[in-house]
Amino acid sequence: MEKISLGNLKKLKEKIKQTFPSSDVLIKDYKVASKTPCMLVFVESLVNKELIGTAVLKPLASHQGKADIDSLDSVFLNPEKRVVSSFKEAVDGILQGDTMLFIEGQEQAFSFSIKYLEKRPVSEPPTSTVIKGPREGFVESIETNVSLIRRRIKSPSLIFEKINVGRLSDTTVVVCYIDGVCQDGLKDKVLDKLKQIDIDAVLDSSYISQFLIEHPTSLFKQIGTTEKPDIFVSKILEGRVGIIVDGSPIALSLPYILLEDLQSAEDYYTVSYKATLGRIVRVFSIFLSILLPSFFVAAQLFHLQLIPLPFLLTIVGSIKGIPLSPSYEMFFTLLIFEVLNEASVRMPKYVGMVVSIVGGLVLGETAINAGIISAPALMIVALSGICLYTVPELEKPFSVLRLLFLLIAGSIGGYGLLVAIGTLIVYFTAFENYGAPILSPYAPLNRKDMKDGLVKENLLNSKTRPEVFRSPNKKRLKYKEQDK
Amino acid sequence: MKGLRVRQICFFFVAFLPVTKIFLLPSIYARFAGADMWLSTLLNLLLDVLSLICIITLWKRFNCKGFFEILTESLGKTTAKIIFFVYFLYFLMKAYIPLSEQKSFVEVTLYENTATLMMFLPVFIFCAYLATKKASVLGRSADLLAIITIIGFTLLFFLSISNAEFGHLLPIGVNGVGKITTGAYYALPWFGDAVYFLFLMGDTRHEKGTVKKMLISYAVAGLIVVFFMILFYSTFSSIAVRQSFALTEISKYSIVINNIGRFDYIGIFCILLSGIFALSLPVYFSAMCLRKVFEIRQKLIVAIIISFVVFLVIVLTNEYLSGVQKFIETYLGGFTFLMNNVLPATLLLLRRKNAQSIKV
Repeated sequence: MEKISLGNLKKLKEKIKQTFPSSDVLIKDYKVASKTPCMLVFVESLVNKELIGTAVLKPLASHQGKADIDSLDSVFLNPEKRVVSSFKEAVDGILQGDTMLFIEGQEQAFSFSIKYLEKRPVSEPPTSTVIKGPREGFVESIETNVSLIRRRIKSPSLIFEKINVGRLSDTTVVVCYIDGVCQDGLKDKVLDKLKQIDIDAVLDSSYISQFLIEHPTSLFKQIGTTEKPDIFVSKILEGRVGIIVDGSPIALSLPYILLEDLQSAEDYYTVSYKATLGRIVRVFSIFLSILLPSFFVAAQLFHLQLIPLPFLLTIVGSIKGIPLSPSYEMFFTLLIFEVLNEASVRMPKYVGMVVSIVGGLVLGETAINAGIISAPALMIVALSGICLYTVPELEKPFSVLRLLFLLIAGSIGGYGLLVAIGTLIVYFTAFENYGAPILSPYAPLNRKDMKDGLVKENLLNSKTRPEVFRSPNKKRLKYKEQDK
Repeated sequence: MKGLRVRQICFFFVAFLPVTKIFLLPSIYARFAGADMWLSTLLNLLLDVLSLICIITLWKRFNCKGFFEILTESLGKTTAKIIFFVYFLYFLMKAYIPLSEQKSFVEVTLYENTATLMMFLPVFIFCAYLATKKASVLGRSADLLAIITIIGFTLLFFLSISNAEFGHLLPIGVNGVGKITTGAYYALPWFGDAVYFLFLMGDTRHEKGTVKKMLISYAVAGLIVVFFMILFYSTFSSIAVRQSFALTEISKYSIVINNIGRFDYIGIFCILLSGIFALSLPVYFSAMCLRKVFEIRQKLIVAIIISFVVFLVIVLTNEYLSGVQKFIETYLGGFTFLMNNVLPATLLLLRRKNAQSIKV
């Protein structure tokens, strides 16, 4: 490749115009100390022009000495200043939002990071609101997100490793871990996988997650996601690796275990018995959500003795005249529920309200009055739907599972359902994410890790990091020593 | 690193040992030993415990190596393969009993309308699926299912104990040693779960107090079975012989159930869930043996073939199920005794050259 001189401004200008035919790349000519020509290049939409004036042009105009890199180095007071030596480096910098200053006769150029990017202020993420605890949430700016993490861990052991991914987007991805707490093999594996990504653009962290998962065909979640820096930090403190992607407010963490979605941020800010109760309710709700519609259908079709007599009479009364079989009725109602769910999520907020009212009240009520579906079926679907939202992170895979179980229950009954549950147990017990069993700490049982399991023990009892993440630094809390 | 811990083996026994012995077996015991059926059960369990002790001793002696490695080291690869092939046949035979009796249970009692073979078909798919997994999956499943089994039995015992008339068991030993041992002999094909450890020992990490832990867990599992037998005879007494599928019958006379509905099915479903795993174990181990014998790497193919063979046998003998079961209990008791008890005891004759056994 032909070497382009950074000191020949005439040729360089042509080359830059060739490289950036776009109109938002501006090239401005100035003179150092009123005699040496120089050239400023930047992407108009990415820089703070006012700051360019005060931090670059003003010192440049007032400089009276020699017009070389060494003399000018002390003139600019911008801390985010660096010297580039090649055309490629300069191009990369311009694309990242840096301002380049080329000086006639100098084979090096100054690069100033005087970016101006529109960004959303830090606010509480809508997906995980809390009553107690921090309300900050990640935003789309990676710098802000890194600062939110750094503010929480003021230690040199907190490491951020930057890597750029995407041929066209050149998106910054930051791998975050605590040195000495995170297992070396784990972060190396993550970094290796990231380096191997060859894609045109990365628009969100979910793009990255597709490359990091170990079971691409699986229905289930394999990477932890969060919008809250406090949760993210707690995960890396356990010995996990965190990943932040520029342009995405969703941070990733690895390895993922199923239990982490049953834990809520608030569990750590309230008393342990309340947290335990909350977790038990969540687990119970998940089971209820997946199994209730299918067991109800199986009971109606194959195991009537399961239903207590008074309830059975109510069901008989309500299904009289219903044209659909119990399984079709439940399937149809669930399908309507999924449609309403999709519509209410996608529609604008004010229309979404109408959809909820029309769907929930009008449609449901009318369907029952018209004798298309029975009241118990509607109630069970509604209950199942609400229960699933106690753990919103698991909503997608488990709603598919609910339909699958319903299909099995409707065709082969309760025993088929048991076989399906058994299959799911085998699937989950065999499932590992970066060496961590997904059902940990229950399969395999790990008494120490169970302290933050379904039963949430007091913080003072959780003295060690979870063993499942194989952290080299196991100790977390030195309560007794301090006490003495 | 070895994927199984001693705790998981203990949970394995608790989760899977009792659940295959509560379908046809109680009525078979009742037929031969009557009120002393629980003594026959104890005798069978004692034989299993002796087998387990032999296997653990062998395991210790050979430095926690796998069964195939032990055989290869002591008797050569060909002999090892022959023994594994015999065990392959044994497990195939062993697979028939729980699968056929659970199939009958599902068809006869679990469904209120006519159940077809289609309703039982998924079990064979499950067997094939499980047979493709590593031993650690069995251990992890046992971690989860031990508690499910205990919940199931606790609920069942709690509901049925009020209707049990323990006086029916008295006087103890009234049927004599002959009938008790006959009952134990006919029940032999239902036992022999200790042998499973022979095929898991290569994957098990040694720990301190292994013998104690395993024997306690086996005792807990055995106690559940014995207590079920006691409850069974105390509830049904003279009609016990005809109660082929007592699982759904034993608790239904509870007053609580009359008021609330058959919530004992929660316990029954818990037991059946563990049961699905337990009845898949012979298929799992026969697939393991076959893979070793023919050095096959494709787990899925072997698993599918064996599950299909078992499925075919069950389908073909569908009409003659009781006849086949009678044949197994009458004529295959000896073969079972040989594979479950004699062979593990004989293996103790094997000695490891120039090495010390470790203390476990």
